[in-house]
Amino acid sequence: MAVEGRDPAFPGLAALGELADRARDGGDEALERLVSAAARVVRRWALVRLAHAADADDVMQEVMIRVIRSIETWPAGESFAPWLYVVTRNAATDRLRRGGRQRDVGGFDALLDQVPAPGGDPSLVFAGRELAGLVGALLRELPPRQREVFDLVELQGMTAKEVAQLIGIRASSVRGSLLKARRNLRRRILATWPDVEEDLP
Amino acid sequence: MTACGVWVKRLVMASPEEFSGMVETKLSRHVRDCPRCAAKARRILSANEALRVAISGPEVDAAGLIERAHHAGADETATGRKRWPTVPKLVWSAMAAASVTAAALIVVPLLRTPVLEPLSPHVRPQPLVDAIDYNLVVMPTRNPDITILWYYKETEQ
Ligand SMILES: [Zn+2]
Repeated sequence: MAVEGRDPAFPGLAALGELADRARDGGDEALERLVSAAARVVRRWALVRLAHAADADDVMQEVMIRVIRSIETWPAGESFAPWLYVVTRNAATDRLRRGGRQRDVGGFDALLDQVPAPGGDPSLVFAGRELAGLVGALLRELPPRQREVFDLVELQGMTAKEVAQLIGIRASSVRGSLLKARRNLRRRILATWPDVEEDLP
Repeated sequence: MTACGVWVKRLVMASPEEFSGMVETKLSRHVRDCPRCAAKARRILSANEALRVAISGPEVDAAGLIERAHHAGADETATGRKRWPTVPKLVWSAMAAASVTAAALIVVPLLRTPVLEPLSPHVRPQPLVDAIDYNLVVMPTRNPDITILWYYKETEQ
């Protein structure tokens, strides 16, 4: 089971900065590699912020097209990711202000009978409804800051210090939000299985 | 609350390293020795993994984005209405043409081979994504060249 460490689907902040530097120095291939990596990161940031997949995709496209068109103005090195984050956050905020679509992110249940858990442990099988509930709990029930920090630290494997640098808050605030998010989500997770619910505090 | 209650309190706050055996603490020792708490820890870890997959989203067509950025007009950027560069236009056309009254199964015409292997229960479905008026689930098959996109309307379930 993949338990810890970086989410392999997402580059670290330093790696994003390096890709940005190379892309700015020129070359179609370098630009494509940067866009390929950054677009998924941007979409995920937007999804966690907006709790809506279609809105997140709109924001991703808006941000990435802006990035591609203004290649020469990108900040260098490590400051690229925080810059990209701010651009994404502003685009997402703008989207929220305009109303967005605000539709349900759920709807797995009729489609996925059972989602096998990583590692193939048959005792850890998520029914589609349970997975939908988890996604809903993360994206709908947690306040934006908690879900953002939970995704960045717990799911993407960033440190509190890195997250603080990225989103511009104190590391202690990151840790506080993380603890609240863990408590909220894990109680929900454990409550999903009645056989373990009895021990919940 | 049972004897494990105090450990569960810690479990819901702890770093995954602590109960996945990556670091040695009182909690990690208890989880190792207690089957009930070990089961809870496994569920938390697997739920994390499921969430990670669910919100990751599919690959992005970077070349398509670059091309659009270079050639599209400014008004397209402003409206942001063009969607999902990962999804071939053919699929969207099919969606527009069909008045879908039941869940529709559309095989993405990205395939280099016509052979569609059935989804195995061991194939982990990709995350739900969303589309205008439709929900969309992207599911890989064992064949890496084949992806199934499943569109459906929530109200029709
Ligand atoms: Zn125990």
